[in-house]
Amino acid sequence: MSQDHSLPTEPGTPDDGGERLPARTPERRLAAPPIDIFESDGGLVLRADLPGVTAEGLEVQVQDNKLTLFGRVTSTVPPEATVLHQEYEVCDFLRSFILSEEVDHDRIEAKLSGGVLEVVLPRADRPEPRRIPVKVQ
Amino acid sequence: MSNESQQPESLLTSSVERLRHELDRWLEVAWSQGERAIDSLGLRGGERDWCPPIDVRETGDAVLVDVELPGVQPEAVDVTLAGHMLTITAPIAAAEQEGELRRRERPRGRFRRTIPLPVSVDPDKVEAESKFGVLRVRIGKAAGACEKRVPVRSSEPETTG
Repeated sequence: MSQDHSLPTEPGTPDDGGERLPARTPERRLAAPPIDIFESDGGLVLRADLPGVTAEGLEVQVQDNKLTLFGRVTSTVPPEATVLHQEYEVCDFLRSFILSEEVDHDRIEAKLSGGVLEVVLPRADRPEPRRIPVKVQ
Repeated sequence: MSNESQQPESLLTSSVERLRHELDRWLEVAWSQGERAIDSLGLRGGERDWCPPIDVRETGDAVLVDVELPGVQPEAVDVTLAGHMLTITAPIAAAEQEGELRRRERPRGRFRRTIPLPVSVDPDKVEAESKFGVLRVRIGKAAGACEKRVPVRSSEPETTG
């Protein structure tokens, strides 16, 4: 899939998101959410598992050609509860992608349902090749 | 050469002892790590494809079991309580594919986990709620289960007269 230039690629450092992201406290752990990408004629659909993330805690940002997903997990555990067995910690989700020129940045849509974020990346209309007349002087 | 006659017996004892130690070790792993150990040792059959992480917490009056199940419809989740064993089963919908798959990282398939509850619970006080992709099962603790008094009746026939 690396040969396909229309797919979003991930930058080398995942945690270099824009400054306008919500303030992150340094002690909170960050995890990269698992994603699926489907491609159809209309464009790409990206789905990310973000369990525990609410719409308020979710930030989807496109800056220049970089798409950043940041999800803050709000713990709903009563403070008096004691842990008996723990397999996952409350951590925030962060992942970013470099979008190709083929994505229409203005028409990107995102929706969150049941802990799954779906981002629709529509394909930009390719401009028709324009013939440039050459004047002979 | 003098203790040759004792050799077979001590050999047998030591191998039995070794076997017992080995079994104890396995039992301990299974006891302390439960389902995860069975999964990591690959002892389970093909009935589940993935193992979502769970957290078990205890409050004053209940046990809370949280399972990360993003994208799983709440009505597809099956939660059963048998004694103090809580079993959660769910299929993962595979019908959300549209177009050509380019990258797949999200887990799919069906899963099943059985969680032993550490305290005695009340089977009538079980609630399951799915919120933002996290399933929380709340099981109320049995009220005074450990100090229930059993009245002793006398079954001797009453003497009339």
